[in-house]
Amino acid sequence: MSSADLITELRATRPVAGDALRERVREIAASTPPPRRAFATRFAPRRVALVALPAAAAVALTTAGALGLARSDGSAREAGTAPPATTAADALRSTKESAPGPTFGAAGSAATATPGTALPPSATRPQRYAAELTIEVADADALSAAAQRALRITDSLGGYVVTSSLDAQGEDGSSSLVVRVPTARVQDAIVRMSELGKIVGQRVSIEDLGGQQDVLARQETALVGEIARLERQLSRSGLVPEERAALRSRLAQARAELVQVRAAQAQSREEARYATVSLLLRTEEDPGVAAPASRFDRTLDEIGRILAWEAAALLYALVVAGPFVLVGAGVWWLSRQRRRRDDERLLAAS
Amino acid sequence: MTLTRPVGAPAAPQTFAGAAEAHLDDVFGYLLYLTRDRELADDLASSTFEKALRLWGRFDPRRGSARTWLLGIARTTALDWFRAEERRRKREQAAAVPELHEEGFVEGLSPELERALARLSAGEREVIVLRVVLELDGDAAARLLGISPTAVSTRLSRALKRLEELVRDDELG
Repeated sequence: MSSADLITELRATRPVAGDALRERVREIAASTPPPRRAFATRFAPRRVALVALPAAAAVALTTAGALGLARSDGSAREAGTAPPATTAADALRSTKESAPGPTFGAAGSAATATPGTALPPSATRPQRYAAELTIEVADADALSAAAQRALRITDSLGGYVVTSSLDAQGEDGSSSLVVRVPTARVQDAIVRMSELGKIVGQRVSIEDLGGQQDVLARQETALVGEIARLERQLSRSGLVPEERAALRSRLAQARAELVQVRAAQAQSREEARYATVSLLLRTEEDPGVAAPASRFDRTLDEIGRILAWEAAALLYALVVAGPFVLVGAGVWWLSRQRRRRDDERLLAAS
Repeated sequence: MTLTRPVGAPAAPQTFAGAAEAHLDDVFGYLLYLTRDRELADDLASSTFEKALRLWGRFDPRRGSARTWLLGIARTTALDWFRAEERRRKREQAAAVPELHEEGFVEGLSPELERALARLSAGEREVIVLRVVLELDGDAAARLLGISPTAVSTRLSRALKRLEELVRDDELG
């Protein structure tokens, strides 16, 4: 008997269920109405993935868009409050007009000047006043002109130049000026120098010199008194030569100390009388950079940042969960393979 | 009412009762070839349809026909029975000879073919009943058995060759 004959016979004798079984199966089919579609079928993994993945992507994009829009608005407000060019000069003017002069103790103080916080010198106390200004100008020509004007301002206020340098190459360059102007007019100097270009940095430091001058005054008084006493002793008769020599030596020392104290007093008064203004003028590095970004650009930037953050979070989750998922999948696959082998063995043995 | 269905006719019943009527003979025939016992095949077929009724909500026609789905449940049911039988035999320390009716399990078969079928393993009879008797296509049989279509072809070819040899031996001997 050939294979073809076998197949023909096998098909011709196809088994048919008996009547008893048919009736039983009919009863089973009629016994209970088919249940609702099971949860597992309605939410099969493939179907869930088909809906969940686009939904998750949509949520991620929507979130990024909404947050990006909100944040770009916030950054626009922040940009609006940032000190624009030349506002420092206006602020200094308003401070001078309205703010009362602060009272300083022995300790010094320093502040980065922002609108409304510029510190005027005290009218009653001696102070060491120093200001640093960084100002940007358009190009090398403007740099030279600004440096010249700064010198004229200094001169017009009764001040003088301590150091001056100019370094220009092509369209770029910088100029450094250290000038001293009468302390009483330092605010005028700062205001006028602030108008030389776009102010990008400003710092004012104030140190009280009253305590130092009081100490020097007491030292001077003491030395003057000691000198007078020594002179009186030397004018008396009856001193032995050794005593006279010792008194003369002490007198010479006291006079030398008095000279030093008076020099220090003069220096302190000079420092209080003149304020130091350090002015750094420079050309703008890249005018295009200063142009404010549009809201659309800011929104795109924010969306990009948020999407990058979301991608990083997703990557982190995958890195953390990945090994567990792999181990679980491996265990599931191995158990399935083992089950299949068992089935094969069972059917082969039966 | 008839429960028979023309071989190869497309069947996509939408109700459980329709599916049961259309594929009862297929399920019974499959189980009969696996077990070689009509009574046992009857019982396992009943169990299969009881189980299928409970699971009918999970049936998805897009993933396969109701016939393949029912045969899959029948296979699981038969394997459960084989496992239970194996455990029982081990408990009783009996020989590995199942207590099955080996004669006349398929009506109309020639005695030599029936004897040859009885000497095949259940796995060999399974692929023969699926591919030859029930005329299941290769992909559906592969899905049902959990192997590739190529492996199904190989297994069928070997089973038929062995069956042919056994029949020839029986005729000669």
